[in-house]
Amino acid sequence: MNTQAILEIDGLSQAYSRNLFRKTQVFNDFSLSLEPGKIYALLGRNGAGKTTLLNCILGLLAYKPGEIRFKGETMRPGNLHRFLQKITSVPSPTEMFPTVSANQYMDFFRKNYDNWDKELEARIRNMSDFDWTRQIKALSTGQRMQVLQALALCPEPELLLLDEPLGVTDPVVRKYFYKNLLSVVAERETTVIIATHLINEIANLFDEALFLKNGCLIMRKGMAEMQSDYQKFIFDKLPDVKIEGEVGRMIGDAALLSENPEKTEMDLQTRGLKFKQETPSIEDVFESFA
Amino acid sequence: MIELIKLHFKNKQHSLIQITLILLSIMLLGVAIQLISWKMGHLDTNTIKIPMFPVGPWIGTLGGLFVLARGRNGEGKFLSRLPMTKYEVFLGKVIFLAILYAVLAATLFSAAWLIAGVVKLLYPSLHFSGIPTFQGLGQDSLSFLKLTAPFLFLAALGFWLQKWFSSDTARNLLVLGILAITIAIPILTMLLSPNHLLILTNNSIARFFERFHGPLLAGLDLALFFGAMGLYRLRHFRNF
Repeated sequence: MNTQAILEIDGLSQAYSRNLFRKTQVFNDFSLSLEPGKIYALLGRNGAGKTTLLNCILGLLAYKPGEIRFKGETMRPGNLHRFLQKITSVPSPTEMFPTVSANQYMDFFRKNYDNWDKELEARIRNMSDFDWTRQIKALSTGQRMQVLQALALCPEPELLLLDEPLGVTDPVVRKYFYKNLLSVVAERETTVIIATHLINEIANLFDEALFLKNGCLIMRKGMAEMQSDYQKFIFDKLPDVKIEGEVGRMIGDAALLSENPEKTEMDLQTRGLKFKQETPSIEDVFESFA
Repeated sequence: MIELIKLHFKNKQHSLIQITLILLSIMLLGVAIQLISWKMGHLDTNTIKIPMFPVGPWIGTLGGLFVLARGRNGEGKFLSRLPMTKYEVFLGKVIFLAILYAVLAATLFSAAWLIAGVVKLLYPSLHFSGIPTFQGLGQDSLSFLKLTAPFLFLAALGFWLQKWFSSDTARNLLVLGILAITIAIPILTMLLSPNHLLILTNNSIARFFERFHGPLLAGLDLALFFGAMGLYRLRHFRNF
């Protein structure tokens, strides 16, 4: 496998103008490097900077200072369209033109990209259960997602960005969306970044989770690493004091997450507190860090 | 580029057909009412006025604003995700607008000629006023170009401003700028004019309206445009 980073973000700073005089700083000197062929889960609470980061990569938002490099080449507003041949995204279905048909969309995209996987297009069409001559407004959200999936995958991207792709869809749509997506990206070794809040659904899909908090990357780990590095301690009532090794708490579960289970166990025994131990789920880790 | 323009047409064909049908219906209705009045003897003259719409100024003003409009919350950024430069996207919209104007103007002008021709065939004693001439068509096209140009300039300025501000702020700045100019021109004129000592009389108000009906109409266009966007909650314009 090629080990050169597919995407490098270096010293990125981005601020939203709330009005002429006020700005909200989202990123300040943010850096990240992604390896090719991996699936990354971009996690964080609302406002952590997930969408902003993806929009910066896509050139939808300006940033200054900072540099984003795709396969070693710096992306600038002037040359961005070249990179967008290889970086695709799945936008929200509400962004689609309502009176354009799915077929017309496919034709338009096919003519705009240098590469187009006709075989994959045929495969997605065969698996779909709707008429592609129908207008977008006549399709359900799940059907629109199938069109968007085809539009994002057929150009044979090397980097695929998904921002809350399935927020409003039912579980069946979500299941098949990821199933189809994974089969394609596995074949091609496409790098994927999925920003989502439905973390349990992607728990078995990603290679690495990138936790964002207030525009900072606070943790970067794989699922197995997360479960071996941390331990969940459950109580009847959460202790009032900070426990040794504690990295965060899950208030609803009356539990805490520890990065050093032995120390935590000793501390709890010293304090005479009763507890149960469990391997944490990704949701537990998310809640503790978020 | 051709594909992009075709996509805009496919997206807007419904609205275009609706606008054309509404304007044609008004035109037909206007002629029909006058014809009935004439036949019933309520019309003093033998002349019927064809209600012709000068679409040039309207599309010229609102069209430029359509180019500016991108919607809120990331909507309308669909095309920006494609491997096209933003100037291609911009140019695509502008060419689409020009074609849209040409189609609408040609349809309305031909309809006016056709209606006048058919009525004249049926009632040869009738005369018509307001039938568009080629000169009128030329003037309408000119007003479309004259009005589109400053708004396209503003749209380009908007892109330029986005280097420093968010797209929302850049657009708000432009709207503020347009409003400031609309308000500042009459005030400055009043201040600089020796006959105005900052006293507004009935006469001065009348003179003001007489003199500045252009900017006032432009202001009204703007208010209408944003009012319409609010009413439709950007439903039809957000993806433009």
